[in-house]
Amino acid sequence: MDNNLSYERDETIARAGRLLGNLGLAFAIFALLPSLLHVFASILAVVFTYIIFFIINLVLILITLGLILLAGNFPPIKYSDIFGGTEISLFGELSGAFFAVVSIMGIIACALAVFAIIIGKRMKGVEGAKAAAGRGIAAISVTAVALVLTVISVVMGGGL
Amino acid sequence: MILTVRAEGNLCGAGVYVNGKRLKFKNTGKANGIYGASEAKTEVDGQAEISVIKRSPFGYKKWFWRVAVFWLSGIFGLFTPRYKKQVSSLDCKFKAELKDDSSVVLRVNPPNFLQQSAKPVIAVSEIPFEEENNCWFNDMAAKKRRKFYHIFNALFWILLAVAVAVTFILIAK
Repeated sequence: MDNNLSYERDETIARAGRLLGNLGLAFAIFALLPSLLHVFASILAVVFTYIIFFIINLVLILITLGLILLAGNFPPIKYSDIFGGTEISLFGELSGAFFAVVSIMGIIACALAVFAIIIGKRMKGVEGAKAAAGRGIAAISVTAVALVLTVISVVMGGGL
Repeated sequence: MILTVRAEGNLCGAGVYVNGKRLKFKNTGKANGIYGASEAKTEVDGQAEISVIKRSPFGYKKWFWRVAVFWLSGIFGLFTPRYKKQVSSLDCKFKAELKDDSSVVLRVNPPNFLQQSAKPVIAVSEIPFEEENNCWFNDMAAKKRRKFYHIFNALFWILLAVAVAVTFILIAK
């Protein structure tokens, strides 16, 4: 094959690799954004659910215990009944939706990133090949961060 | 016979081919006081044709289809890798007759820093070689095409922004 044509082909493949890397990075950022938002939401949820409600519930428990003591009998009381299970399950549903979004985005990002890395490694020596591999690695790293953040936020938000 | 090609400094994005085979350079660190030296080895039988090529994507034969596909698949140019401002093309060819394992040292001078008398690619070797081509040339057609691409891309995004704004205004009414 003519050297010029070989150069055109190699450069086009390397450019395609960079494009895949860019798209992978974009998907990874899309995966990161909801999980970041979710972490903030979970922190707020923890603050409001566990701290403010704890104070309210503590007062309620004391009143309930006082009433039980006054009445003279001990009915079975569930922990979740007292500690507002409704709030926790609401955040649990949100966690599931976010987890699904992050997973789908993350899988797409990883698939694109893997192709970008393969092209980057195979096209070594061509302009832009290193950048393609670098973007692929960056996309995988961002996706990993997004997944870790999602797991943390899901745990904080009350679980799936 | 093994031909070792050493590149001193940056190759300016040029591709190096020996008998039509692309060389994969490996970094060797600092050589002769120049950072970013790299080396590649290839097997050659007798004659070796070394080509150092660099071209702008706008100078390719089917440039329009390639650029259009990249623009569309990069979501209307949003994620398309940037095209470099420099559209100079490099066409350099050396021919050498090898009798034993040999090495060639290449140094590429970028067009911006090139003086009138200097050559774009300086090749040093212990074997005699014939120089067929050695020049940077300004691809004016590629320059125009690049300009057209950027104007088209900018116009598309302006029109899209206007269309979105008008749609929102109409919905609000």
